Amino acid sequence: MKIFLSVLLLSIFLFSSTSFTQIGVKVNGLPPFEATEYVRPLSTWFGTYFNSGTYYDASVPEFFGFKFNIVGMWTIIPDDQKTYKPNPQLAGVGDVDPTATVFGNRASYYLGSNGFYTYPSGLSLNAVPFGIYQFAGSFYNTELLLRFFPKVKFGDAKVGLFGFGIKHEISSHIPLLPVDIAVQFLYNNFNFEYVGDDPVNYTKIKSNNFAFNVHASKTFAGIFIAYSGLQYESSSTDFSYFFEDENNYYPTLGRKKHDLSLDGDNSFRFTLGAAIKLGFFVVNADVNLTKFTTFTTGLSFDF
Amino acid sequence: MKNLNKLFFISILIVTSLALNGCDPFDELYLTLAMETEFITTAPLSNVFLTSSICLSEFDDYNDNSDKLKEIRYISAAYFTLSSSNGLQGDLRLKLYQGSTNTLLFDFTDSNFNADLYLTQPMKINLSQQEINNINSYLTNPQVDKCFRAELEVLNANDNDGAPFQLNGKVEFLTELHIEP
Repeated sequence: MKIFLSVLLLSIFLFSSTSFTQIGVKVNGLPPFEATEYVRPLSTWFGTYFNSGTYYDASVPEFFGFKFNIVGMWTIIPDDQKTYKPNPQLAGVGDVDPTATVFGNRASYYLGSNGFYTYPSGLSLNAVPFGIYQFAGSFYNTELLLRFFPKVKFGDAKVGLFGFGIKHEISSHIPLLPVDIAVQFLYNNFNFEYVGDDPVNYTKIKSNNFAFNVHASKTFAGIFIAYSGLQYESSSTDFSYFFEDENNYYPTLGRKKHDLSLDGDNSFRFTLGAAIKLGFFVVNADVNLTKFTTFTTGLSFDF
Repeated sequence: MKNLNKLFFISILIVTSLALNGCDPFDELYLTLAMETEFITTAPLSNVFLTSSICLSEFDDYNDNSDKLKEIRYISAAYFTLSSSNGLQGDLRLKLYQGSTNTLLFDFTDSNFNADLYLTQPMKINLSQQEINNINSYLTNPQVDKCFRAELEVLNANDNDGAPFQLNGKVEFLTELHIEP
């Protein structure tokens, strides 16, 4: 049986469970020590995705402000995140060719005592397109940003999201500074759980993501905004699944639920972008140089 | 100004939509498909000669993706003994044919076959490059189902108890399916 991580990803994008025809991901065929490497790039992607698109202007209204943003992202998956070197830890099985991670497209195999074992392929993605919406309100040069989607059941899955950010314009305390400067802290939590009847399909994902950034911006003619920032970010994912062990190679591990804890390869990112402000509407685009290079574009209602 | 804003945002939506639709994030996919066929004796044999047939359409991964298949290629094969008469030995011969025809794809022999040895470990079936090319040539046009006929024979058979002999075995064929995004 398969767990459909592609369903998971697209359910975030649209917050609906409309039809998905991508090929499923069979992580429940992997022992825990192999599943960790298979899923790790997903943890990194969570950290990249949830810590993106949170600013386009370091200036925060002195008294009151409100924003609603829709942010689209295009995250490039580097080649070194599409494969990993398997180590089945079985007597008589030698060197195994690199095989696909959750984002990869080509799986490897080995010949064991009970037959050929074929590793699962991945989602076959060169890039991940995604989106998110967020609200923000500000008082006295301090902004609170919120992302929220209540835990709702879609078919056999429950999905929920909660995130917040706190930002303060420190340049408001430094008169005559030629640019606006702000600091921002972000936290995002994502939950996915399979709640269907088939225990083989059991999957639970809990992703926690943190970030802290300093960013600066300059507005030209009241319309054009150039902005840039430096951010430190981290992600950790708790991943639980049912290991089927169809070939019966791991009798002490098979037919059981396993809990994995993964840290993503997130650390620092540099952002460079521009925005156009027309009345209450803002359109922005930026590039984020981090483990997974990400391009974002946003449409905002901002007053 | 109002009309200009409206035109501006419609343009942004159109451009974004076109850009996203023109950028396909999906790469081509390669699935490994293990196809297994069993050779079952239904009665004790004086000479061990077994046949089996197998078609691509018997497997879900092929059926689910056949309309998007670009290529199927052979990777490897292995033989396993499931059960046999006591100490069965001889010269193993495994042949694979195209469907129900007499077009031979490969002819594999092992002169020191001991059935018991392959109860707990596989016998890897090593083919020549020409034999691999024969199989891959047959697998061209992968969207059309392909069938194979396999013959398993143990020549000069002997065991610890004397004839009749019995052998149940299986052969696994490993292939790679190349699927368009």
